Amino acid sequence: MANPSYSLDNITFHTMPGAYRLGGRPRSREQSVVALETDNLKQYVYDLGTRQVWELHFRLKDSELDFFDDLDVSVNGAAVPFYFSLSGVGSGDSVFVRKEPGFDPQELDEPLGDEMGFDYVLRLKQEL
Amino acid sequence: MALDKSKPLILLNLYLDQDGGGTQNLARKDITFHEVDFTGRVLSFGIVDRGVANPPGMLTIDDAEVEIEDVDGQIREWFSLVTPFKRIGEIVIDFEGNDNQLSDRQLPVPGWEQSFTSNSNLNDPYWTPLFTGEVIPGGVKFSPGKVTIRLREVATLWLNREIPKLIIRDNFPNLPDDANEGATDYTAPIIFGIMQSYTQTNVEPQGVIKCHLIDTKNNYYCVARHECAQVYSVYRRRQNDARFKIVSNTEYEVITVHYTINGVNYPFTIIHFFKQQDDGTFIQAEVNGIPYRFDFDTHLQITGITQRNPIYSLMNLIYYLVQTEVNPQRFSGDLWKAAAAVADEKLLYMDGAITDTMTVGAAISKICQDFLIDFFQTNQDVMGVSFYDPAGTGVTVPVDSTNLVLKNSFAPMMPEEIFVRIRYRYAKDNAGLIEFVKASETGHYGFEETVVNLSDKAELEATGKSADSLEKVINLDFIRDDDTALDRIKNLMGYYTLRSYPVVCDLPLPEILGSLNVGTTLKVSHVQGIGPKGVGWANLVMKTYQLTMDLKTLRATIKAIRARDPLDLDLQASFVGSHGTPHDPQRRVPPLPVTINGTLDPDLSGYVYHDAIPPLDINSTDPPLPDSPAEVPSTFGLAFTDGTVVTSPSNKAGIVPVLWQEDPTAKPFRKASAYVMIPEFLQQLKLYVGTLSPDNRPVLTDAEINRVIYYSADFDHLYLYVGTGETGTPSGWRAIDQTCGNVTWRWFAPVAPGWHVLDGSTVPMSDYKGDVANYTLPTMPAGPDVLVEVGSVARDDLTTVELTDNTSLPSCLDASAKSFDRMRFLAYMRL
Repeated sequence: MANPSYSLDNITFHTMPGAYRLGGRPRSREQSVVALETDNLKQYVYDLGTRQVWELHFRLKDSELDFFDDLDVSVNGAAVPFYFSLSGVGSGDSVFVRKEPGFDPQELDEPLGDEMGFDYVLRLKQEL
Repeated sequence: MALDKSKPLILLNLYLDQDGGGTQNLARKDITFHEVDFTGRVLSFGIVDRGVANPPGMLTIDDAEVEIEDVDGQIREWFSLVTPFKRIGEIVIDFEGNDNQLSDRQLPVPGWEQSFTSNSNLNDPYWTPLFTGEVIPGGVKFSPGKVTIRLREVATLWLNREIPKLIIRDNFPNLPDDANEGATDYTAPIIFGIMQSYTQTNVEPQGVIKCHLIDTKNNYYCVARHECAQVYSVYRRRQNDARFKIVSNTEYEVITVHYTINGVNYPFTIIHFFKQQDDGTFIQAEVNGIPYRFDFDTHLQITGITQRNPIYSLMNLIYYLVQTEVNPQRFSGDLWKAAAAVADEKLLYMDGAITDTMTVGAAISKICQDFLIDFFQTNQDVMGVSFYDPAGTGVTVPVDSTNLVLKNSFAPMMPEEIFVRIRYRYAKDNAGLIEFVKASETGHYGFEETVVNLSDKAELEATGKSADSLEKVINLDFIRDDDTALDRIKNLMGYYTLRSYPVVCDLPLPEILGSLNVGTTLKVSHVQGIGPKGVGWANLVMKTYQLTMDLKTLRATIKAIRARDPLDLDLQASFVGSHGTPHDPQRRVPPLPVTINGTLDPDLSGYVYHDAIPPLDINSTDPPLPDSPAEVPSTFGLAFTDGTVVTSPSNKAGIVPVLWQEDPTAKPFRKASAYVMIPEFLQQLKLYVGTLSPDNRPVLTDAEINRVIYYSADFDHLYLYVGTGETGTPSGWRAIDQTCGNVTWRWFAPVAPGWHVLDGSTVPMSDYKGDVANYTLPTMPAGPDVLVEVGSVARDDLTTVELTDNTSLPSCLDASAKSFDRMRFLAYMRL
């Protein structure tokens, strides 16, 4: 899918709910390369593209989970890319991303406060 | 700064109809490259594959395939609105950050049949697609979420065209009803080089080119569809004649008649008989063919010559066959000129004719086969040619001293085909005479000879079995010269020797993209080569004949061959047949060393060069002098030792060929690579340098006519010896350069000798014969003062100044000249 020429001027950012937990991958990059090697072990490595990836771990109340449920529905899983900002609205670091396909929160064994609790992992890949 | 190749960028441009999507610039990812936005839709680029025949012949270019993502159905929509068939797709490989591409490139014209010349952005020399193809029926496949497009290459479509016959009734309504053997159409010949009969073949001379009667009203017989350097002689056999007899030149004239056929102007060479010939008469001729060297850059660069260089002949052929649309930018002028220089250096002579209908590709392929020319398409999308140089003295790409061979890809092989004997036939009889010598045995070729690789034969027969059956028969349709045929066959034998090893290996594509093409010579070093243990091959000179570029894995798979042992092949020519050698005028004459005043001049190395006289004077006049310039010959002839006389151009474009002069007092003749070398035109010359006053020109005999050139250092003139029998030339010499008497306006004295200001004085002056007599110059007042803006170019460049009131010069080095100086011009006369 092509990167559409969206303007960020008139869009609305929604702040993610719940506490961001440790243990994710908040600043990773993945790279696609073609690596060739000669008989004499000289390497030729060609960069075909690099992108940012995130794996963000959340522990959420049932009501907070609705945000991600709604997000999944509105972007149709991985079908529709959207803008993601790690530093907040207006920080200028918005990145066009795609969410992982599907929606798969894990229910906790015990309630979280007065609601059911969930662990949810949001996986995002920068859209190039 | 070295090009950063770490980020290869592969792009696809689809030139769809505007209503159906317009030009689509696609890539693997969204990227803006030189101001063009490329959309990330390409899932996979396939393979681009090019090759040349091995041994040389026709080039090959395979189709390419591209997979494009189409989850949103955009491609489907484009293709549903307007068909993509015949639309052009280009694959470009470049590198992010490379600034060699221009952003203002032109869009291509859609393909169709002319696509080889119009398939791309012709006005942008930096836009060099790796591959250009067109969408064809059956070439598009829609799968869930993607589209696979197969692009058929278009660079060689023009080779499939048939060479037009031209002589059909639509074009020539006065064709005879029962034209010759009853056929109704013929192929107007295209003739290269010298096509003469043989005198040593037990058959009377009878011409080599059949001349068809094309106009019964005017008695026109067609020699060729183009101008010819010369029609040597015409032969005739009437219905009841037993033999061909030469026709007196009082019965006919050779003329050029222009016919416009399908919008193309063909200057036919015609034999015009003054009287109608009897029914059933055969007319045949000996001809010297196309008299130019067509140049892809400058078009008709040189005219009026005997053109026997195979590379220039190929260029001429391409020009003739696609002249309405030939686009020089689709051909690499540098590669063609370099190959032409090799052919000149090796004295490879092309003498042959196309007299039967065939495709352009078949004709080019045959010429390439005969001369072992590699005709290929480069990675920069232009057509080039080259001769494989087994000695590796040309441009080579070192492999693997720079460590390019990829792991486990190197696979040398023993030869696939071995022949120890080549039987080759040449000097084709294009007239197809029944009585032609040995026609039943040789298939209408004048000569048949055999070359044997004795060392390979002995090595094979050491097993006790005969190798005589390992024989190949080759017909050389475009060679009539003994030495050219033998030289080419020796090289061809190199492809069939026991040690003509092919090799396959993979190289990193981005590293070799700009340097390695099919037809390129490379040096291979690899421990796994077929050679001494632990050494293998060290800088073995090979030629690439297949280049397969996988754009997904970025691997280039090459097939190369070492086509000749670096050591001299042990070849033995064993001539058979009734003829001897030299055969006839077709045989070339090796150049003799050039002497100046009888002393060998090593710099000239057997060749001299010519160039057009530069326009030396401004506002020149033709003064009413004795021995006026009109008497100076506009052409001159040069004789070879075999008796062949070559006449210079007939000055069609005001060009008189002369020896190039540089620093005339020290070195009047020179060899310069910047000028075109025509060994068949100006060799066998004796050059002399001296003065006219006193006159120390040598006393010569008629044997030296047209063979001696004299340079007078005191008058800066060139003279050709034409013999004392020449009317009006008692001295036996004629000037062959700019004539005396020309006037030029200059604000400084000419540097070269032989000029004098027009001041009324009496001075020695030469005439067109080289005789010197006193002459009183006219008095010419100085011209008006001219306001000249000067800068820093040598003052000699002032020769093109217009004498208007204000003249702007880019620059001037003369220290006395100042910006916006007013200068006074004086008139000088050539003495």
